[in-house]
Formats: sequence, C-alpha cells, structure tokens
Amino acid sequence: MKYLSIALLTAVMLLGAAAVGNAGVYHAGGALLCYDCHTMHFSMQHGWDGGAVANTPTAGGNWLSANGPNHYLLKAPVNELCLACHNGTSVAPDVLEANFNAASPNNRSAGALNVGTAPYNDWKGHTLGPAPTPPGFKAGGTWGGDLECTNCHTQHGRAGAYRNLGPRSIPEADLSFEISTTNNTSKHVWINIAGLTGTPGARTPAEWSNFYDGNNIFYNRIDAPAATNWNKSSNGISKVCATCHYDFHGGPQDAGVGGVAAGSAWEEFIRHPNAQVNNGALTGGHSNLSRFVAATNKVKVATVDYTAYTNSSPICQSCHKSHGNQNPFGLIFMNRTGTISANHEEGGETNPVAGIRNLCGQCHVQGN
Amino acid sequence: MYARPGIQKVKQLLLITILFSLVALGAGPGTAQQNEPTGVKSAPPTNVILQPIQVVYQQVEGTYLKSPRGIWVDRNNDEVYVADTSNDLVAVFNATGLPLFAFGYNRELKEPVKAVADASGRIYVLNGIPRAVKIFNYRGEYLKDFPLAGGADKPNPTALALDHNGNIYIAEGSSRQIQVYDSALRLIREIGKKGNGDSHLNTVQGIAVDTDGTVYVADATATPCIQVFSAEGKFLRGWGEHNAGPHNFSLPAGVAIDGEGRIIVADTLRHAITVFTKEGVYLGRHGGMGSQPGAVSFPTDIATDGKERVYVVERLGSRLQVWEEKNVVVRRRASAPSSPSPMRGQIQKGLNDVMKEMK
Repeated sequence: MKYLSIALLTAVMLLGAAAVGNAGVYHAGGALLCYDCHTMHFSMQHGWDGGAVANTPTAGGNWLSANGPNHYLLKAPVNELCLACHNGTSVAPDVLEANFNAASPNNRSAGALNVGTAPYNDWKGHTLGPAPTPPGFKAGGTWGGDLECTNCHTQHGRAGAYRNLGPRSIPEADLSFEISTTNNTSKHVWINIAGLTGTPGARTPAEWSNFYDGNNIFYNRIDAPAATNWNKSSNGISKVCATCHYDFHGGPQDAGVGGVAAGSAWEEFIRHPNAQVNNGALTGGHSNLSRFVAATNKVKVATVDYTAYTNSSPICQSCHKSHGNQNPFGLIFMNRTGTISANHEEGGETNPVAGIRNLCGQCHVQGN
Repeated sequence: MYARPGIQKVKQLLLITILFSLVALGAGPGTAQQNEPTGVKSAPPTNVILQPIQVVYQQVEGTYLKSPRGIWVDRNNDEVYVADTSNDLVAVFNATGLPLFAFGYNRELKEPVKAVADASGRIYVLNGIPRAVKIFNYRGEYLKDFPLAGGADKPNPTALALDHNGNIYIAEGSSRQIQVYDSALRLIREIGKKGNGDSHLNTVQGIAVDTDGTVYVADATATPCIQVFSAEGKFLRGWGEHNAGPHNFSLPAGVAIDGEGRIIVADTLRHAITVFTKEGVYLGRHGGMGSQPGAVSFPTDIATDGKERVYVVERLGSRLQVWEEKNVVVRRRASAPSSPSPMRGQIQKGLNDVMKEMK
C-alpha cells in the first residue's frame, strides 16, 4: 500500500503541476495555462490527425532544427505568443503602437512598442525583433540580436515585481510596487489607486487602464542621497533598463557614466546620469528645483516628497517611455505648462525641436 | 530469469502513475466529449472534415493581408469581408477568395477588427483605435459613427455580428453585455451580464447568430467560454473553459455556425478550429500550427457561408483560407458523458490488475 500511496501522490502532483501554478499575477499561473504557450509533445506543428509537420519555420522563430520545435517547446516565437493576447485584443493590455484598449477615464492601455513604420518607426523607442546592439550596451557583453518581450518581463509572472519586470537576476525587492492610495516609500513604485478591480485575467480595459495611467504611477527614491554609491540607481526600475543600456547611469568615477575616471566630483557628463544626482542640488544652473516644482505638468522623477521634490532624482522613465512612443527615442515631450495629450505619450508636442526643449526645460533653465 | 523485486516494484509504480494520470485525464482516443453541457438533448452528431480549397494572401492588387483579424460572410451576396488590423483596411472577396475591393484608404479606420454588411449594403465596421463602430455605404464610403448606447464609461465595443433580420449585435466591454440594435440603430435588447458563470460575460471575442435567432457567444475569459442565448436573450447553455483538453480553450477568438448547425470556434493560442454540435458536444478539431494549407497560425476569426464553405483568417499566417466541409457520420455515440470509453475501461482494468498483483 505504501507504493500505491506514493504512486497516487505522484500522479496527483503531476496533474496538479500541469493544471495550475502558484497564485499571484495572471502570468504566475493563477489563470494562464502552461498549455497556452507550450506544446508538450511538439504536437502543434502538424495537423491533429498526425499529418505532415510544417516545413516552413515561423519567421523569427528560434527553431531547434529546420522543422522545429521552438526552444522550450513554445508554440511560436516568444514575441508572437505575447502579442497574441497583447496586441489588438480586448483580453489583455495592448502593447503595440497606439493604445488599442484605450478606456475612459484615462485612455491608457500599455502601449506603445514600435513596429518599424511611421508613426512608430524603429528609432522612436523599442521595436520587437532583430535589433542592433543597444545604445550604452556594456562593453564586453554579448547582444543576442533580438529584442524579445521576455528581455524585460518575466513570462511566468513575478507577483512582487512591477509589471512582471525582470530579468530575474534583478532581485524582486528592487522592483517592488504597491497599489494603494497611501504611498509606501519602501516600495520602488507606487500605483496611486485604491486597488485593482475585476478578476485577474478577465479585466476590462476600463479596469486595467488606471493601472497604466501615468497620472497614477510614482517612482519612489530608494537610495539615500549621499556622495557615495555612485552606481546605485535612484530607483530599481532603472536596473531593468541598465540590463542593456548599462552606460547610462553611474557616478563620476564610474566608467558607466563616462565621466573622468580620475575625478572625485562631477565632471563633464558623457551620459546623462540618473543615479545619485539631486534635482537642483548642483550650483551653476545645471538644474533648477524651483523650476521643476513650479511646472504644471511634470515628468516622473524618483522621490518620496511629491510636494517640494527635495532629493528628487531623474530616472530613465523621467524622459523615456519604456515601450516607446511617436517621438525620437521614446522621449516624453512634455510641456511644463499648458495642455498635454490625454495619454501622456506624446506630451502634446509634435515639433521635436520644441519637444526636446520642453523636456529638458522641465529641470534645466538654459535656453528656456 | 526473473526481475529483481526492487526493479519490479519501480516498474509497477511507474505503470500505476501513468495509468492513474490517464484515468484522471479521461485520456485515450475517442474520449473527446468530456465536460459536456448538462441537461441538453443530443442529436446524433454529424462530424465534418475541413478540406482546404483556397489560400489567399493578396488583399487587393498590389497589397497583401498582414494581420487579418475579423471575417464575415455576406450570405446575400456571397461576399467575404476581412478586417485587417495592420493594413487598416477592410477587404472584400468573392466566395472563392478572389479580391474584389477594399476600403479605409482615407484613414477612416485604425486597426479594424470586424466588418459586417446588411441587406441594404450598409457596412458596419468595428474599429480598434479608438474603439467604435463605424458605418460605411456599400462603396466603402464613411457615413457616420454608430450611436452606441453607453453608461458612465465610454462605450468599448469588442465584437460585432448581424442576424438574418438585419439586427446588429455589439459586445460592449464596459457593461459586458451584448447590445442588440434594430436596423434603425435603436437599442432593442441587452444580453448577458457582468461576472463569471452562466450568462455572465467578460471579454466577448466573437458572436454568431443562428437562423432562428439563437445567439452563440465566444468569450475569452468567461466560464463557460461558449455561451448560448435564446433570441430573447435568455441564457440556454454553455460549454468550455480556459483549461486543458480539446473541448476547452486557450483564446477563443471567433465563432461561426455552419449549414448543418455545427458550432465552429477558432482558438488563437491553440492554433485550432474546434467543432461542436449546437448542444456543445465536441466533434473534432482541425488546423494545427503551420503554414501549409489546412494548418493555421494564430487563427483570429472564422465564418461560414451556411452551405459548405468555412473561412478562416490567421494573424501570423497573414492569410485567408477557404475550406470546404465534407460531412462524416459519427459511428460512435458522441454524447454519453457518463459511459466510460472502451479505452478508459481498459486502462481501469489494467490498473485493477496491477493493484491486485501488488497485494
């Protein structure tokens, strides 16, 4: 009977593992099935009656041989699998081009990755698929040549990480978030809403739009502003960007920032820093805190003081939309006063010259 | 020669594990009618073979389908309407897939999802960005936006269909109901309600209306996934859930009713075209991922001409396929949920034998 019990337990465990995963966000297995993305026996590439295997691998697929299957027994290339739900359906937040699931009151979904053609050209942010070596890629590193959704998001879910961000080499604690009307300053991101309504995996655009609305997203400054730890990012989300765009943050003695290696204080920047720098803290008019505070429309900075913005620091998301937009480099052309577009993506500015001036003018006085 | 006791035990253990798994899964060929809807009468089902007769890549001369999302057959004129979310166009084909014309060139459409045409030639297009239903004349000239009824939230239409009386069915995401309008665009009925379970709708992806007015709804996240309502909007039955098994779904994206009254569902993530009886008895599945005729790659919608043709569009396959139906008589009774299949019986017998031997 002992053997029988073991066998029964094993069978139950096998079945359980196949049917459900751990609780948490949608991708963590509470609702998404292994079977949605994987084909256990490579049975998706031919007819159900056992007909011939397709002899034309899916474009962009990572095929183990001429006839497949995809790596990890995926039903299709990674990006295509993600886009099956995340592009142009009402099932999940839209990530490609304009927001497909724009819903009142905030008209936000999750877009807008570029597609390579106007008005979402490659140079306007992130484009999935074959890509040149990312700007700021760490010297000596190896770029795989493809941008995939899974470069930044954990496909199997990460309940404690903002937007399921990854890679997993970044501790989940560095990507922590809280959905609440009260800011928990120990978390890296604060989503200022009472809570998510609806059922995970069955939310409507109206229910998830608040979760993506820039008006509701705040980045807390986690590091203590001090003249050390130059490599430490002001907010953990920047670490995701730094996975590829490593040389965009750091301190004066850090090769990452491109400063003068021998210098002991801030030298000329080759890269715009986003670590250990305080808005308005430096003399010489580099940035002006009172100017930033006075702006009616503000880009997002890392801080815990959302009134006086003391100890506030720029992060990647201060100037760039992670998924891109219709502006060069996914820049946020936000005019500090006046009307901006409803979804914040374009900032209400269509003139790139004026747009860049507006963006820099959020913190800097020169030329403004 | 005899096997060592230890190895024999391991073998028995392994065998029991496999047998238990198979029994629990209801595995075995020919047991595909699990999870049938309860309380429904089953007519002897007629199964079908779907034979590809045409594969269409060209949208109109010089342009090609990119991400065809929705398909609909105008049975009055034997024309096929395909909405393409990448081309921002609606293309019209004849019954065999010959491109006739397309519209949307004046940028009236952005990521169109579905287009249907009524008997007067008026064309209704479900537009993706912004979510709206736009009305065009038979030449594809924009007339006006559909005056959608809405509550506090902005109307968020997610699916579109037309019945034989010219009534328009629009799934509205905010209220999670299907709104039914008459041909004068007056709201005459609302079907379904928010939530999960029978008659509750979440994210409707497809609607098909039978000749008797019965409404079939494919919902990607509700359970049951396929829900059937009477012409008056009363919930009748439902089947399928987001779960493993050929009778269940991953992402049901389109639903159609063929001339024999079979319900055909396109499942995007399973690369499957699944056929059921009207009562929800699983009959079979077709497709499988691939680029050859008969296979599908992320199918997004399905339609039939009510006679013998089935039309499928594929987002990644970037094409329209025309299939012909060949009826097949199902010899085995397909609706007997309580009676175990022969294979299941054999597995159970094998399990009993092994257990007896171990004792």
